[in-house]
Amino acid sequence: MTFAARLWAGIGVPALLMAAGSGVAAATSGHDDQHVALAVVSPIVGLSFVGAGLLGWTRSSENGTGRLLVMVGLLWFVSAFWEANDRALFTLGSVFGSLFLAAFVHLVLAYPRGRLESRMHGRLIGALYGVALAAGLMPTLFGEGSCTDCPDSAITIVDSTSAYDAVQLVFTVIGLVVFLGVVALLVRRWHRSTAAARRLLAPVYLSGGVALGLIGTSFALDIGSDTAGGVAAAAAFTVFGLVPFFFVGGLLRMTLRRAQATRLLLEVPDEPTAEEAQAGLRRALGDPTLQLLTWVDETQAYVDIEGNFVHTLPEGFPRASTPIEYEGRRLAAIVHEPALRHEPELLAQVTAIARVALEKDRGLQALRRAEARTRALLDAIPDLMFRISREGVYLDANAGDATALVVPREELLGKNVRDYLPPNIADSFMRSVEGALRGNLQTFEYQLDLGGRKRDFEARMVPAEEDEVVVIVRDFTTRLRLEAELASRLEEIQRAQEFTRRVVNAGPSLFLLVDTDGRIVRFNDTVERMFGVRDDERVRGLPWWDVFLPPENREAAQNHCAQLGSGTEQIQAEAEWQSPDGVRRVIDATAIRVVDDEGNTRYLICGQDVTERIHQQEELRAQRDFLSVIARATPSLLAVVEADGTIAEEGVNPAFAAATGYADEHAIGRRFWNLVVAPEYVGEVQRHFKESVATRTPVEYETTWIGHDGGRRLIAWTCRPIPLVGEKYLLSGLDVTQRKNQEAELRASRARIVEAGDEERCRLERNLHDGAQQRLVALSLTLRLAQFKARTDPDAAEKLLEGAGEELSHALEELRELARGIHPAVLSDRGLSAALETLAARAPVPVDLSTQLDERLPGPVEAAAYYVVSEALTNVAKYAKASSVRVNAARQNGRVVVEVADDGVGGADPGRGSGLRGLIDRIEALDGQLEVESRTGGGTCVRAVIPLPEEVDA
Amino acid sequence: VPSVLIVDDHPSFRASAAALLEAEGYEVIGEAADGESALELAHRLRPDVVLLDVQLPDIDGFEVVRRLCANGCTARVVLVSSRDGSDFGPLVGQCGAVGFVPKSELSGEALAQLIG
Repeated sequence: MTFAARLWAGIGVPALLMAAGSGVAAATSGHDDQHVALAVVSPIVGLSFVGAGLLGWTRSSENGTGRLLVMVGLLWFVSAFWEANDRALFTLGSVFGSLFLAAFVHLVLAYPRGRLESRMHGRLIGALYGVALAAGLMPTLFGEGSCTDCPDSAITIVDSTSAYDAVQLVFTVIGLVVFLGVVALLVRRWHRSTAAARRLLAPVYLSGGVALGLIGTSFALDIGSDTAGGVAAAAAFTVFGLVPFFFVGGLLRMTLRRAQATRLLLEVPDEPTAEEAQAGLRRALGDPTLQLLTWVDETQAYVDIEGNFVHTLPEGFPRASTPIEYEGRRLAAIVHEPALRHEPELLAQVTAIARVALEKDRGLQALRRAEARTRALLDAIPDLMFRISREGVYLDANAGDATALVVPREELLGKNVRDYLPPNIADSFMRSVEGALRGNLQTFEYQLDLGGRKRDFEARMVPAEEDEVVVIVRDFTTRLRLEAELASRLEEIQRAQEFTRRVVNAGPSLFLLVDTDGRIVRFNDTVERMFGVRDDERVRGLPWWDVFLPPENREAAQNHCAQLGSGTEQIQAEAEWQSPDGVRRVIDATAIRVVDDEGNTRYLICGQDVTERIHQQEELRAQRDFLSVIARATPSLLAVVEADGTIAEEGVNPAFAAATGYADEHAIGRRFWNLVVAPEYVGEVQRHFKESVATRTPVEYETTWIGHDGGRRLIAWTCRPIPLVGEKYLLSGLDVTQRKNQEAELRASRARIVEAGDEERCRLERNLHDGAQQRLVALSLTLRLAQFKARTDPDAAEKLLEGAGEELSHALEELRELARGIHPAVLSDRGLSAALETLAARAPVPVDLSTQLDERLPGPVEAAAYYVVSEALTNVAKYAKASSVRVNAARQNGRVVVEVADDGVGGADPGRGSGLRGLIDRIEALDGQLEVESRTGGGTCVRAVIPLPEEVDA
Repeated sequence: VPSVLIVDDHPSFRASAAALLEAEGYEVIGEAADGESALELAHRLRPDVVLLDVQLPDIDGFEVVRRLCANGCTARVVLVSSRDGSDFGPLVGQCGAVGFVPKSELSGEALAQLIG
């Protein structure tokens, strides 16, 4: 019994029984107004599904569409049992009555392959079956609803019409929602389909859609009106019964196309071009967009008929591909409409036929390619190849380099070697031919003059056939030349090596080669000179740090060795090394990993003795620190400037910052003349500075600088180049403002002293002239008159002489007073104390005198102190209106302090009169100070402090 | 008897000189203590001789001589001073005075020699 017969018997017969049962149930139904129509329609619809399904199943067992059609038909019959008056059948029909709809949706979604496309579709259909089952089961638990004539449900829990209606309404709504979801899914699928796929889907979707639409409409109408619902249901079921024929029609069309495909492929020529093969496949598969790609082993890629390489095959939407393989090897691939995937049998059949054709074609192609490759290989070989007969006739020749042939190839063939080769070479050649024919590989070298150039050849001969040999001739002219060059290079390298060895040993750098454990392999003569250690068996093999490093540095060296071992490329370190007799040197060393001439990994330590350099650096540092301290401590204003006058990065010193108010942060980068020089001097300073830069000679000037606070200072500054620091200059200034003021004051003081002396002399001259001199003139005239009268009038002469005596006394007194004014004799004779007593005694105001002066003071000090008291007392008498004066003179701490204080009206101004000013000059000339304190109404106190020279103080 | 005008700012000298000259036969017709007074008295009294001190408080003696000459005064002017004549250099000879006598050497005879 065939599979088809078994199928028809196993499913067809029960289906017929169920059809009959459903027809009887409908015909005898006591609770359906449409039961007569249903008795006719129901078996027809069910059997159309089952029949169409079995037809499809037997035609294409891999396609699930047939099985699904059968399932829809069988469930349809189950739903028809609702018509039955039998309580159990009625309940069966009620509970499972909606499942056929779920199965139908399943069928539509799975078409045309009969398998759902995705897990999502699977879950959706599963849910749909669940809803369909629940929609039948749940209302039945509450009786039969409004169907009064229906038999009682066998599984009723609570008989409630309202509950029944409510539950049914709920599931009707759910059913509608699910229905709309399925419609949306189908619409989406339609949109995503290619034209070919749509052609396949259109009839089924149309019929299935109309049927589902009518069924949906009948559900909707059923809620409002039984009659309208019944009419819609009848129409729906009629259309529904036609749907399976569209499905089967589709399946049959696919089968027909497979047969047609085979026929169309047979129309393709026996050895088709790629275009012909592609056109044939397009016709066979009904896909005008199909592309045939051929696999190329050499490039490991597909190539299309236009020669474009395709490395990745498209998969899925919008193009799909199907590889064509033979015994696991790729032959080709077709890129086609994704819709062809729905017809796997067609695709498999066409690719199978294509595979056989392609493989046959491929074998031929491989043979052709192999031959071409061999030919190309032979052409590429630079050697000459000949086939030569036992007699020495050229049978064939292959020359990669035509210039190596004595005559052109065409001329050579058929000629004898003796026709072209020199006799001695031809003899050797023929002897070798004989030797080769005896079965031995023959080799010999010879030289030919070709085109005026000597060329060297090596010939190898092997037997080919019984009477011929194959000769392979290699031109090694170039090789010989290269060998000569190589020998010359080798000599050069040896010379260079010798030179390097000498340099390595004679240079100042030490080289120490150690193994990966730090053990000495060898070292150069420099090491020996530096450390007095010979490179011999006594030190080789010892850890280098034990030989050359002081104990405290050995651990670091071991660590460096380990670092090199763990991949560090290079290590640089500056450390003290030590000779065996304890002399230490600072070595700046670099260690790198090298491979020696025997292929061993070694570490090469290259170093230089930097002891002297370090020493010099330290000295320089100390010197720099010393200079830095000086620069910080000096009262001079220092700034380092560039050649353009900009204050350099070295900046300014603290004295500069303090005097000008510009520290480094304000000064660096600014031209010094813009920073500190008074505007009226800027042009002049720039000129002088540029001159100094141009001549690199120091300059020295005095100009006014203006500080950050606006204060003006007179700065004596020099600018001199700084040696060894490139184009930089040291600006060094000294604030001479105070010194200049002092100098000006000194000059004024000197002028005043001179002026005072002149005035004093004028005063003396005038006093002498007006005083004593006039008296003496008058006395002279009186005496002459007395002399004249003595003879005539002795009495008168006597009176005149008396008057002359008085006049002479007055003149003497005036002369004495004058002499005292010039310099008091008591001061020089008896010292300051006595002189002050004389002054006090002559003063018109009572004087309280107190002196603590044990011994004589230097003359200028005594004179200055005396005139302070004298001038002060004169002023007291003239202006103070005082009742008493206190005069103190004492020696205190190496100074003489003189003080004259009165109780008068005060208000004295030392700047007004010349007397006090002259005293101040006199005191300051002795480095002393004079202070006048004179508040109005508070008396006047004049105080002079005069330092004593040290020898006197001691 | 020649009439004399004595010009000096020191009263003691004027008194001594007047007494000496009168004792030696001169007639002292006036005395002045400064230059302006001397010019006024010379104009008014028209003396034969003006005995004129070089150093006066207002105008010096040389200027007084120049102005007297300018005013057309005919008196013979003799300059006197307590300083030595060499202290004044050529000024004495250039100013128009007939001569110079140190005060300490003044006498009628010295005056007579100068005025001829």
